[in-house]
Amino acid sequence: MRAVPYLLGAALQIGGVFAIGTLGYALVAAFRLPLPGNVLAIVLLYALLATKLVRVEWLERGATLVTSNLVLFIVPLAAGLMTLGDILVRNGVPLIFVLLVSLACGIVVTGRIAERPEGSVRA
Amino acid sequence: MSAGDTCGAIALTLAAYVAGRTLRKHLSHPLTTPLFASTLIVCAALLAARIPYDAYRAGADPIARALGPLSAALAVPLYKNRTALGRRIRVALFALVAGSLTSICVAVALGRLALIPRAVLVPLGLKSSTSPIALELARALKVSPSLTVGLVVATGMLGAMFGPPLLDLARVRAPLARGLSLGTMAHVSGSAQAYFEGETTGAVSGFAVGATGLLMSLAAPAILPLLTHGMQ
Repeated sequence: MRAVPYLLGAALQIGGVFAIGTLGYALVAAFRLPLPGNVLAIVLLYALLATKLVRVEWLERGATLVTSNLVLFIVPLAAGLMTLGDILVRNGVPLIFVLLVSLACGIVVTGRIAERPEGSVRA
Repeated sequence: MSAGDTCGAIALTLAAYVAGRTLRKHLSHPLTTPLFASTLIVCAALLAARIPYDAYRAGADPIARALGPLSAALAVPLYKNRTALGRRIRVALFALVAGSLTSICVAVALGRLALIPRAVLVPLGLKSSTSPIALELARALKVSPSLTVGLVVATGMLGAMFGPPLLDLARVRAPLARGLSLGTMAHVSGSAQAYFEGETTGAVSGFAVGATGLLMSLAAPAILPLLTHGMQ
């Protein structure tokens, strides 16, 4: 029965992540900060990890479980696409075209700049 | 809204998710990403049972609400991969900012030419941010969260599929550059693809996903209204 303490530990860690996330939203609301609550929470948790106030081992298992299953929490919103058939049909072809071209430009620009060897102007 | 509806909606979501993940295990293809498959299952079930989306969405609200606070977990991969860029961090961050802005500007310019309405063009500008952050930005910019998530997911799938061959074509060979590009433009889907190419590529992409999310959460609310100013 080694699964029980494992799951209990993961659940506690997820609770910790959730608490920091909730704190992020609360701080944004209290101080009317112009950024999303979860972004502040990410910065906050990063700062806690960087200053070693929170050790990464304390949260790692739960956090990995959350990030690898984050998709579950998106399903209820993604299913809303079924109500947007109209918009998608009307703008479908230009939408896919613009998405593909802008995505390709971003991929090439990011890759080419990062590829450039240090100190040289052009690769 | 009864407790039964909530239980039903949560059960449907969980069942669809488990089915989506199981399908992924047996059949690995960009079209069998768990989100795509699970969403199709939920939609099919709602259509078959003639349940309106809004009723399901209200019932599944506890699941959707958990996303925001739980996404604080993204700090962990960001922290663990913080040294992946090493001495190249400055050029990498420059590439990340330049690539993100190029993609947004190209999208808005082409979208305006193609007469895509603002309600669709703004979500298109959010397409490379990771879903939890894109969703918050969609709320702040008053555009459809569902459309935003749909475009974010489509971007992830297309970026993971076409990113590597496109980078080959552009002769981008360094693992750092490839990982950075995939994580910046195709968020977690691109990052998963980058891990197939190697440990460095994956680690860099993991960092890029978080960094792009942070960048966009600061930049998008400022530049997207500006770029789409005066649009319908």
